[in-house]
Amino acid sequence: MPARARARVTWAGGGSGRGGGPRSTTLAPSPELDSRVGGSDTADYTGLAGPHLPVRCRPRPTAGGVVGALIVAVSVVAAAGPAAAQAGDARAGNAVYALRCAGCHGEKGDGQGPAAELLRPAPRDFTTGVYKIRSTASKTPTDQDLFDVITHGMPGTSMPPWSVLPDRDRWNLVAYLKGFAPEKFKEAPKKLELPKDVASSAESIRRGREMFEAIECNKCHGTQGRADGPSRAELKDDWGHPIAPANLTKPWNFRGGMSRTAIATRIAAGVLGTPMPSFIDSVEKPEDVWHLTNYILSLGPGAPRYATLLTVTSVTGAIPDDPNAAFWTTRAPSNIPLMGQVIQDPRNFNPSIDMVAVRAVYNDREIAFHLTWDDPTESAGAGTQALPDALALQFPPRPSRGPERPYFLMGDASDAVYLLRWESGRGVLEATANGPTKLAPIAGSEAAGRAVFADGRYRLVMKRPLAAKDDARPAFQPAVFTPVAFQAWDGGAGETGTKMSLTSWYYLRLEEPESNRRFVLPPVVAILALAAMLLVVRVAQMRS
Amino acid sequence: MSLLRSRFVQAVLIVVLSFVALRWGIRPPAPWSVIQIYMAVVVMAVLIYVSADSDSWRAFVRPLWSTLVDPDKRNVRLACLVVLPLLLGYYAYTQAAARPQAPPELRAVHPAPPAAIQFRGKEIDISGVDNPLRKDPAALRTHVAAGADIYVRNCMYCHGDNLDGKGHFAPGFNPPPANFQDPGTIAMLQEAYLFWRIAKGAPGLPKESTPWNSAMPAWEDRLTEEQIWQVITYLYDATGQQPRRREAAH
Repeated sequence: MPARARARVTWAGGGSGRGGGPRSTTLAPSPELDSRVGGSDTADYTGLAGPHLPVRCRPRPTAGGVVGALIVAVSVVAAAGPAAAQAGDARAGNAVYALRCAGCHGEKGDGQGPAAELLRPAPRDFTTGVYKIRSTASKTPTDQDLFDVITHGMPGTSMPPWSVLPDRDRWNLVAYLKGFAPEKFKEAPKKLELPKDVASSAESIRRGREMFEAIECNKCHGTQGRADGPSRAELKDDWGHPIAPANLTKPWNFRGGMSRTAIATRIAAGVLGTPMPSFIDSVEKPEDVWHLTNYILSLGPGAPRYATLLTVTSVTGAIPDDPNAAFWTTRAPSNIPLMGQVIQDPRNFNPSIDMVAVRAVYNDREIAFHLTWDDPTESAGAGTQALPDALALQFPPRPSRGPERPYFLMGDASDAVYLLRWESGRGVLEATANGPTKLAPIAGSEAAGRAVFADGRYRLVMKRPLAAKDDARPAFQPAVFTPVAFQAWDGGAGETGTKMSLTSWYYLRLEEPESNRRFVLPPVVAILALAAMLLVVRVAQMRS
Repeated sequence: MSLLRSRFVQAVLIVVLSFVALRWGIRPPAPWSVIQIYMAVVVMAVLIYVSADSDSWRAFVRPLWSTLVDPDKRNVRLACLVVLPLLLGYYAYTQAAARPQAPPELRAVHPAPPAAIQFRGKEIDISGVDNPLRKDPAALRTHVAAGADIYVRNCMYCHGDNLDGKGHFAPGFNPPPANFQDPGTIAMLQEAYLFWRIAKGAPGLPKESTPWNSAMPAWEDRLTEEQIWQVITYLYDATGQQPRRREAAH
């Protein structure tokens, strides 16, 4: 009799789904276990328990595990200081490489693994010995630099942090990687000496801004740092692949990390293999690298702090159409991460738009959304050769009983979604979709709005009435959770149709009109409680 | 030790210790609703314990009663009259001022599979088929290598280089991509189950598994039958997990 897989319901539901909840804990192994690398059981030390696993299903620690954990604890304490570089064993590194790295970087280390053609930035070609992230004044990175990249990955690219591998494996990998270009590592790397750190201040940021223009950072990185400089289109790396400048307003994507030292080091030493040169000799005084660092960190928030719920604030009076109005920009945004659409062909493995900041309000008549996103190229859209830029909010057309709703990827043949959509050259319209390429505008659109583009950033206001005129569009009511999803297209990056960035379903909620409940209720509760207690005391004393 | 012998102190201690154990003693933290149910059970049990006989009940009630009536407990009484209403008022404030959270998405992670599926016009018996690639152990390494290529070109973006469900698109999707390293995923499933999940993807899920939320594509459109078996072989090989075996027929 065939065993049947039993249905299992998650414990905390989607609570952990967006990275806000507890993620899986990864148990690092003891260094002694490394000798097994290369066997078929190499992976059993990696992720142990997923976010949805009830605690009782987790493996019990065995005696060996406890000893291993103790050794790890001790080594963690030992590593708390500056971790000492270790000599790795290239042969052992080969085994780890074949298992973990070859898929992208290729068996020969030439960056031609089976996944390579889908990845941008392309995987590193180790045979050249050219590395982006280095803390040296010479062209070779230190062993520690290579170790750090393996450990922390390259944020904003497909290179993940490999901190799940034991230290020993990572040092072995360092040794193995160097073997792809041994002549490059013959000379000892020359340490880069950074000038003395200058703490951030208004004065330092002003000076950094001057330098930013003086040494022409803006030519590639753009006036506001949004990677929209005029040279952007011409940039190529040493292998001839087009390469995008860093968006300086999103430091969490900086390849070598966003610490002050990391940023100053990139400015001073440059990013090898890319058009980003060393600037230590171009700035007026060496400490200008710190002023530049302070300026760059002042351009954007330190973390995206992604939202899990979109709250629509209640306002009285008119809602401005101007996306630049202070009414909008003074409100705190909800940042929503967007991912590439890799479900339907043609797929988008390297989405251009990775985040949209949403502000939403409603009054007694209409609901309005203010959306901000970075797009390095403005496309005129309709009537021109260029593909249009576009952004859409997606809702189920009708409130559903229970959890059912249309397929998050713009609906399917049987279940349509409602879209509130803006497209450059066309403006805002309401549409129905039965799939990513099956859009039908709704006749008699009641939506309105306006977009402005400046310095690599769109700001857009979209409005429509709260009430629904017919079955094809949803109505919005306070205190109801409504599913919402987002899609975005950067025409300048060739995105159209299924080539888009998108989200899965989020929730949107219109907050109740501002109430004073929270100030009235507590005193009432306290007074009632006091009265009841006094009564109890009185009765008790009368009885005794 | 007379303090510990007091029924009232014992009851309070049991309730407090149970709460501490439930709230901070469990990893990952249990949801509030679960803690509430367990605490209700604990309080009921304590009430039964203290009211087991009338002596015990009197011993339990005595400190409460004396707080209410004894002239020398006046200060304690007054303190209670101030502190308890304030605590209740504060609780009312936290409830009234709480910002709503997105409702949880409850779903069956591994729903029961269909008995058979149509794969490009061919019927595949999900309840009875075994991985055909395992019949020829000599060729297994070739299949694992082919599976690795398929994985890195198609699956890695969500399920991760490390097969731990932490690919670079993973943070944007809810439900999160499956973590194959987790003993609660492929290790507890048969290979035919994986075939069904890969071939039919989100659109093939039953309603209790919220097919409208899942970003898993239906790979039958892109991969051949052999390629799907190859990637399944790779998943088990790379994670070191063993597929769940079918029970022997009687």
